[in-house]
Amino acid sequence: MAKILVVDDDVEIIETSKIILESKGYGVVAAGNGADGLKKARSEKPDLILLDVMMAHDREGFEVAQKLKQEADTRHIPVIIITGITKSKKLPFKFEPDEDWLPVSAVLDKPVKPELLLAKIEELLAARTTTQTPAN
Amino acid sequence: MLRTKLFQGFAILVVLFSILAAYVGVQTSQRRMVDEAQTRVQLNLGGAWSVLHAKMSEIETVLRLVAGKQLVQDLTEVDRFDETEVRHRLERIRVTFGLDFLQLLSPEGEVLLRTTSPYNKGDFRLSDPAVSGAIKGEIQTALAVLSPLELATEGPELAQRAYIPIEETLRARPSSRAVEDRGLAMISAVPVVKGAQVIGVVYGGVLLNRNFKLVDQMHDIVFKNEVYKGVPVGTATIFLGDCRIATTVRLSNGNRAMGTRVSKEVADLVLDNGGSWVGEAFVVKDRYLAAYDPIRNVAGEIIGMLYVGTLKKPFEDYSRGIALKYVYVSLFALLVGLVLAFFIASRLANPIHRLMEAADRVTQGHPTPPVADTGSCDEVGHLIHAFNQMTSTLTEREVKLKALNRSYMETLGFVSHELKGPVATILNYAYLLREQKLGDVNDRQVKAIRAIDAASNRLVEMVRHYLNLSRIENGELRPLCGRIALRDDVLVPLLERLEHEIQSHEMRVDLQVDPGILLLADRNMVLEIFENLFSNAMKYGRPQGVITLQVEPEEPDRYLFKFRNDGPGIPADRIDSLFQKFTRLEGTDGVRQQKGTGLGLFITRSIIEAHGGRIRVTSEVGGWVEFVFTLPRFKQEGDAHV
Repeated sequence: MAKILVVDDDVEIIETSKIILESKGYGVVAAGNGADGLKKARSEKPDLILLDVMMAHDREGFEVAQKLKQEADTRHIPVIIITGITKSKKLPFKFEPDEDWLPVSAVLDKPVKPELLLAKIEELLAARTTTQTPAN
Repeated sequence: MLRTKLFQGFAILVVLFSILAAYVGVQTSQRRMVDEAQTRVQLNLGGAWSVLHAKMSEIETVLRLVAGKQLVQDLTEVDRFDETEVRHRLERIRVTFGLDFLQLLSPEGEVLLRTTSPYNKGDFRLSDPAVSGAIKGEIQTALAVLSPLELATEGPELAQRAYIPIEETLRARPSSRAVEDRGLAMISAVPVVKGAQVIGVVYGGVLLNRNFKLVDQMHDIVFKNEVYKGVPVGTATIFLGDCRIATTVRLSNGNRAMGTRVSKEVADLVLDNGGSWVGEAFVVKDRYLAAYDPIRNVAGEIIGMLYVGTLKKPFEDYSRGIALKYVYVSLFALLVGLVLAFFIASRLANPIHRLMEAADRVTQGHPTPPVADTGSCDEVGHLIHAFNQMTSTLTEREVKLKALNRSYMETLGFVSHELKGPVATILNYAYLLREQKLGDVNDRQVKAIRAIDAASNRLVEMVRHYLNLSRIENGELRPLCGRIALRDDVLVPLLERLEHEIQSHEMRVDLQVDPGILLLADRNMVLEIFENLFSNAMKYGRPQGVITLQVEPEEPDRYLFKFRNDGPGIPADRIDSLFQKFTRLEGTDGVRQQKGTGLGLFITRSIIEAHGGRIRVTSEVGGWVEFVFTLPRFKQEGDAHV
């Protein structure tokens, strides 16, 4: 079954996300900050990453997403960014997936309804298998 | 306008005073003129009398000379008195001194000789009071009436001169006489005295009938032949009774107005009552200021009148000239007054105008520089000073209030944001409980979980709304526009998310949206618009009703959206407040009270306006509500469009 990396500094959210995802049969790896998240993305090779934007500072999530895109090992992993900020911070870009600024597969507003999150994960994993299968 | 009102007030005052001044001036000058003219005409009459009296004293002098002559003194010496010689000598004297008649009478009153042809004599003249007075030794000089018989006795030439046909005259007393055949004469009777004894009387005089020389002389002396615009200024007339017997008044044919008569009112006053008449008279064809005096004989009886008149026109013209000058001066004063009034009114009103404009700017919330005080007067200066102080205090307060509101809104944003984490946790646990991932759940617990779910959903909406409010109030609602496919990027995901909720209201959504419609807008904001509209439709719409969305292109680069839902509608008086902050429709006419932030439509409008669009709402009470708004269109090359 697919393995999902949850990066968030909120222990409660990690805890509940873990139960929800595991209940759907996904394997879950958790990281409490950006650095840990990057390390685990490299070591655990997750099939998908759930990334909270605001952790230690306002932009930690974006930086993590950009680094993931830069590394060959992690570049192909789909990333769902969950953001609580949308436009409350003056960031120079839109909250849309974007090659340069926001190299992620989906942006979801925090708080995300679990049903919606699960649907999105399913959709992205399905897309990944269809696009990657012929390559393998 | 204040200036106009002030000016009107001043102008009315100026006009009133000008009119008053002109009126008083004209009145005074005219009254003065009339007084002056009357004084003058009375003086003129005095002048005419002087001429008459001078002539009479001249006659008296001649007669006294005659009475003193030896020739006449020899009257009683029968042997020496040669009647023919005396008559001859006296006739020469009469002619030389211009007398019309000259007689010598005995102390008994018998006419001893006449010096006019046919030299009648032997008649008695004792009935003449002048003669009887002279017999008593007194010199008598007076004006007297001579009867036609007396005139005829004197001679036919005199009777003929006295004969004047009476002309029909308007406004005169009625009279049956056709002819004036009596004579009015200046006479003098001088006793011839020898020792202490009166031995005879010299009697002579001048007839005034047709005596033009005398009236012309009066005219010359009194009026100096003045002519005003071709008309003689003065006229003089001698009346016998009420009939003109010698006059300088000319008829329109140039003849003297002989035989015409005086008006009844003058005759009543002067002839019957012995008064003097001073006033206006219409003589032949011009208006005259006239004066009439009675003429009396020796016995004091009124026998005629002396008249002078001075042309009224010079006085009138002079008076009119003065009046005109008053009017010109008044007009000039009026003009100067009006100009001054205009400037004074402007000067008074200007600072107040500036204050008014500044106050309007303050009301509209524009920044207002201090109003300059041009020093018109103390009170206005104070007002301007007070106003400037008030404005600066107001500005300071506004700045403070804005800062306060900003920090309040930032706090609101921060708090809302901080709520997201806990809410996410609640949502997750509610999901886990509902899905029985944490163990079995009984029916009552399922109900409780649903309540938690619903409350969380509202909490999510509230967080979203308050964050948006915080952005709008802090001016941070700046759309980052991009190309959006209305149907696939906005409506489809949104309806997917709302599907469950729409079904629970048993509503149906009718989307009449072409998949090719592209907007140039901020995707999250457009999502917010429709999220709010659908949420609104579900809260207030009729269960089992239809929600319709129509989109059509509108000139030149916009789409027009019509979002309609069935429902009880909105009363017309509530429509205006619909888009204001914290507005929720009250539960009237069976509309259930709804829970919400009261911010949804306010945020919707703010977003639409931030995209340069407009939103309005129409409604039929008991039928439907329709939100009509516009959003910008994304233009593609070769886009002919739907």
